[in-house]
Amino acid sequence: MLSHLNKMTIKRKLTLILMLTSIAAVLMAGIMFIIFSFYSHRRVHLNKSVVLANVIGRNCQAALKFDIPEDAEKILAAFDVDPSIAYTCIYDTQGKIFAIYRSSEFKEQDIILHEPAYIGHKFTGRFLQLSAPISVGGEVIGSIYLQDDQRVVYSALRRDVSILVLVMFIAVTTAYIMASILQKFISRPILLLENTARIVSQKKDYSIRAKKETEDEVGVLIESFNEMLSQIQLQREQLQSAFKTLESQKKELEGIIYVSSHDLRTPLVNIQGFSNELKFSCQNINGILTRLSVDKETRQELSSILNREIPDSIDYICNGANKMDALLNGLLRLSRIGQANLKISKLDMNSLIGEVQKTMQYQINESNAVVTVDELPTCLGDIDRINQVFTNLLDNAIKYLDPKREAKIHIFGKIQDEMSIYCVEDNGLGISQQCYEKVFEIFHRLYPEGSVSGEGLGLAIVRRIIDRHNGEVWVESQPGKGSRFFVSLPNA
Amino acid sequence: MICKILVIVLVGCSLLLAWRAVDCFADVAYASNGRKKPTEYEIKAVYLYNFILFVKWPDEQSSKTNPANTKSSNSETGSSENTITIGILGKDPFGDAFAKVEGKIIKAKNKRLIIKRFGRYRKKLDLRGCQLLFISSSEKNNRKKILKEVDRYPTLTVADREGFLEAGGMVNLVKVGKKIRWEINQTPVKKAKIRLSSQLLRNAVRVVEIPKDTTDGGKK
Repeated sequence: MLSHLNKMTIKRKLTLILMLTSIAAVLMAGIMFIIFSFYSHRRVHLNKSVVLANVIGRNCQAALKFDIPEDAEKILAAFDVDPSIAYTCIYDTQGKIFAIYRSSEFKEQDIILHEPAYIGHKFTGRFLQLSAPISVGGEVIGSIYLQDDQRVVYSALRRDVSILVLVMFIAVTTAYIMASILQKFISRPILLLENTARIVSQKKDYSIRAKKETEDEVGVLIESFNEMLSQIQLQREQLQSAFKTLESQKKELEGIIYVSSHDLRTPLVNIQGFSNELKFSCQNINGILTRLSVDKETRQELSSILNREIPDSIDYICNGANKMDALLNGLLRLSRIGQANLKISKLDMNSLIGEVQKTMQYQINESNAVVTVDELPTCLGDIDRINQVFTNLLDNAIKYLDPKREAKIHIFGKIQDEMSIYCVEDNGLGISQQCYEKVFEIFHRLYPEGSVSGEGLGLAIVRRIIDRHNGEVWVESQPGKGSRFFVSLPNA
Repeated sequence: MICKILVIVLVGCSLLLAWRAVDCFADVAYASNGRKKPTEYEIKAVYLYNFILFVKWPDEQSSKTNPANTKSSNSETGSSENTITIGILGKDPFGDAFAKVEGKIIKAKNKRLIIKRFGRYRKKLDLRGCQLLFISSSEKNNRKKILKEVDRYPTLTVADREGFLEAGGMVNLVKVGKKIRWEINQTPVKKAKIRLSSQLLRNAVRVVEIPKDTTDGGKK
């Protein structure tokens, strides 16, 4: 019932409220009136009956005084003129019945027992019982008792109720008409606002405004609503321009990275090349040294410089240059991801993972890792890029294995909310919670001084690629137990 | 031994006598109360008293007195305006039937009841001032003379002998079966400007209008 009420429109609710209010008021008034009327009628009838009893009683004075019951009975018999009187009788001072009248219309059981001594009136069921003294010269010589079924009162009551029913009918109709008209004052502005809000929401057009018609709280509501829409519009514009600015800045930066890393690599070629040249030159000098005759000390000094110090330095220079090359290469790849267009197609993930495994077969064998792959759901994406993603993830899993136990890598997936979610799970070293986000940063490495190789770009690349696919990548891990890397991509 | 028996017998007899005496006394007491069977004249006395309640004399009609007035009376004593007199002319058959009400105030009329016993009729009798005059059957020969004399007074004449109405009387008490009833002659009532309640007229055995009989010599 209440839920039904909740679903009603404002129009209907208002109409209903207004109607019920007026109907309740009229009904209450009507009922009060009927009750009052009933008691009033009853009192009037009682007073009339009292007068009647007294008049008849007075006429029976002689009958009582001179002990002539026949006279009294003749007088009482006149009561048959009033069909509502069931029974009357006259008592003498001893309480013995002196004369009786009984109406033929009433059954024996309707007659109520009466105590002669009682003077006054009583309402018993639908009957009125009335007893009045008969006196002459101040001396009570008997009493008259009558029993009346008050049909006047009850027929008046019935009439009143019928009138009330009719009045209620008219009242309901009037209330309905009035309510339907009057509720518009409240509901119309609200409905206007509701309509506008719906259109704005559907069309996502924030330039629409609601029309303010009233000066009351709804008017204020509409004003505030329009104000909010203006704010939304402004913010959207600001966002859009900021977005455009960001977009162009990002493109600019990526361009810079690309160009820099590309250009920065050129001098490296010289460093690496000429370092090798230096190495050869050292070997030449060494050769020349063997033909020279010098004392032992000088020979040893020269030999150590030529064979150890210089080559070692050259090695360090080369290593540094190589490292820088690798870093620049990584940056180059990273920047390329942002620029190239994606070729989206439906991907069979199981075959893709198979390709990745093939590519990394060497590393898998070297680390004695066991890789298991479940049945994977399909997704939408660029096949090369996604290949790169899982290559990087698998690479990490192998690189960060726990040397104390056999490396187990498990790849599985499921469909959730129109996205395909994949997981690369390993039992390697794990990552602490503080580093969950850090691992995806550029150049971040878990153990920078450690034995693990890499530039710290793998996960940054993964995130960049997945972002472009409108997916998400995140990690759950327990240090010492293993890690789980999740990738979500749009479901095919 | 014999003495004792005698004493016992004597005591027993006296007790018996005393009990019977009390019984008789009670009888008398009851009788005068009306609880045990009242005598004919006790009833007639009651009727005479009751008639007063249902009759309006001319002096009352002007002052609009209500016979059933229950207002408490202001005690006015003695003056003739505040008394109602029942006169008994002839041999008094009532005895002490009026004992209970004689001298008391009739509430309905707010007047004191006085019983005047005139005794037998004689010429110089003053019959004025009686509201109700009961003419005993002992005066049946003097009926006409009596009626002629009280003709000018507003007196309700009552008797209990046949032919009273024809003689010009107003109310005659008659026996109907075991009950006492009355018959009324309206002519003298109207002449005296006395008003009888419809309840009296209604319950009368007969109501007639017989003008004063001028031819009758006396015997009936």
